[in-house]
Amino acid sequence: MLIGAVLGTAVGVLPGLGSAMAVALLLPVTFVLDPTAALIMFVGIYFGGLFGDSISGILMNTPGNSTAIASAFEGHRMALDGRAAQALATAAIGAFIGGMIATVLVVFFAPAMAAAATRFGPAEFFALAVFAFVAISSVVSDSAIRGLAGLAIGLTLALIGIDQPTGTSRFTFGSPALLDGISIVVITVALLALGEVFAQASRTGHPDNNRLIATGGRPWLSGKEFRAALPAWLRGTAYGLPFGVIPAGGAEVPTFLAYGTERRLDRRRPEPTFGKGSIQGVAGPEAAGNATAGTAMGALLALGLPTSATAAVLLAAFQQYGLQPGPLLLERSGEIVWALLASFFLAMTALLILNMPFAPLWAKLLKVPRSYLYAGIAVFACFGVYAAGASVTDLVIMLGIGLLGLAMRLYDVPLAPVLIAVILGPLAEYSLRDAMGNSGNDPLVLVSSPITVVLYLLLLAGLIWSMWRRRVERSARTA
Amino acid sequence: MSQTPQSPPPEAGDPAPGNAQPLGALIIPLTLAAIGVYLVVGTLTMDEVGDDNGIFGPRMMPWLVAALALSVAITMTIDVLRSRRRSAAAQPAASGPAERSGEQTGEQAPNWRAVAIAVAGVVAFIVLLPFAGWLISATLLFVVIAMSLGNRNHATSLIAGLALASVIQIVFSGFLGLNLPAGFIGSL
Repeated sequence: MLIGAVLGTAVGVLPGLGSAMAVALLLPVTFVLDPTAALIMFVGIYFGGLFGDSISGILMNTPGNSTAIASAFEGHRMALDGRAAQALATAAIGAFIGGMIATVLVVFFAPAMAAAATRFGPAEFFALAVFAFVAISSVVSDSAIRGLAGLAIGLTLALIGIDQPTGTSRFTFGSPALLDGISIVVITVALLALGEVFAQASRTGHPDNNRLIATGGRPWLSGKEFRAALPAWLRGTAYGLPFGVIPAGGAEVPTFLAYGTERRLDRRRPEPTFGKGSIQGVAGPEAAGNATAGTAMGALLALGLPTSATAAVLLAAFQQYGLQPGPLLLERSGEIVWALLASFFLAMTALLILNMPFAPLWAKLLKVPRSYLYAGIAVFACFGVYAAGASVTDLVIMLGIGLLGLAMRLYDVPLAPVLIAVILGPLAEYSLRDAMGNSGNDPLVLVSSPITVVLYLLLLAGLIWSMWRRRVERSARTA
Repeated sequence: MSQTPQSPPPEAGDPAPGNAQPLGALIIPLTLAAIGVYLVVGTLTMDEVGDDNGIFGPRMMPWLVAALALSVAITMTIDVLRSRRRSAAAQPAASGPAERSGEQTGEQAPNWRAVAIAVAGVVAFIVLLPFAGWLISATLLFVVIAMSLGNRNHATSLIAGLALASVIQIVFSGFLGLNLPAGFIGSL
């Protein structure tokens, strides 16, 4: 787990590498580890990666992941102001507080959530999958049509292979290698890792204006700073908690909400600090990000519902071990779940201890030449895909999907909907067919239970809210 | 997901939707259209196992996805073309559609040559792996990717690549028992 935390931070620090990619790259490697150890390592990587993303955001203004963008605004200004170490400390403590509170809540509510979820039938699972699809592709993404494009690609990838209920082979080009479908490992590694390598190559020769800022000064917060940041940490956590459970693509929305709140509050103070490197501007978003990550793990474990790209990759990791996260996981493999939850606490404590004093050391990793870094990632990606199936077909598929990943990056099509669609696509299809089969093709069965009705209503509310938000943003821009 | 912020920074009003999208952006709707056509053909020619699967048989989902892919492809094409026409009308000679408000790296035409080299590197790896073995093909892959990213120090990257490939070989093949092709080195 400690190794995971260290590794996760290391990967997260490196620009352009988020925690989703860290987990994806290590996915094949863990075939040889036992499930509990591997999953605990992933947790370390997950939280470590989140923090690493913020380190590069604060020091270089290149957030490693979209979730670290919000804390990079003020964090980078603090760094420019010679307070880089304090900014990092604020981020580390914020991550710790947000993650801790979220995990405590998960520990208390996961069994209840799982118990509620055992009443889920095919109709409910279908509603859940539809909810996740629509939410991830249209509520979160900047442009609904681009999100849907990602969704369509993912759903298609999920269709390839043998149709479980009937045994019909679908879209296999008559190739026996495709009968089992395309492995989720191949898809995630190709999209997240190889696609990023190609995207980096496409930027070769462009000026790189991101400069690393040296860290100096004390890595500790004074009492005054701590008191200034504490309410912001707590407010950020409050934003982050509910968003972890909603399949809304991760922590972008809550981190920006937290950032916006801190900025509004700051304007009312006698001496506004925003724009000059505000400690609250780092504390709020950072706590929100980790609180989301914490409850997202809860949703993943108890409902089997991945609410962000990283959670989707983690779900794939579970499936590799034959574990299906969801209501039954607590009953069938309870010991793993509790070991995992315990490791959350350990991971966050370890990260706090590791990162408060050593953040400047991590920053040294940013000096690794970009070319070696991505060359190494390419080698590791190819290794992982080959090791997973020992098949050259997989490597060819990886190349194809990697190119797709490049096109998606160049033209702003989000990747998260693809991953969610690949993972939840089969669930959606089979539960719809089950529901129809059980009811003699009566479409009303899909809205026959309170849970489904609530899910669809929530979805509708989310759609209306996102349309409203987009309109407000547009008018703010033109005004 | 790393380089393209999905929610624009609240204070920076840049990547506005009104800006022209490059013509290359059409590759996404084209891909989707190809996917849609492929799904339709594949579904029509599907060799269904078992009869009387009803409407909700193995063909149901492919039809839905095909419909989604095709309609998104059409909408996106219109979206891209319209954004180009609008911005061409909005900004005459002064700036031209090429000058778009960039993101942090500044938006420039992608370096296709570098991408081609990187892709060639991966293709070479796939072709070479069964014959040359892991050690040689992985080292080569490392050197080629480093080259595509602008590294001209081939000797150093050769050593770094060989070191990485060897470490992976030793740790995963030697200690953990994963099988990597040895190639002709193995028969020496």
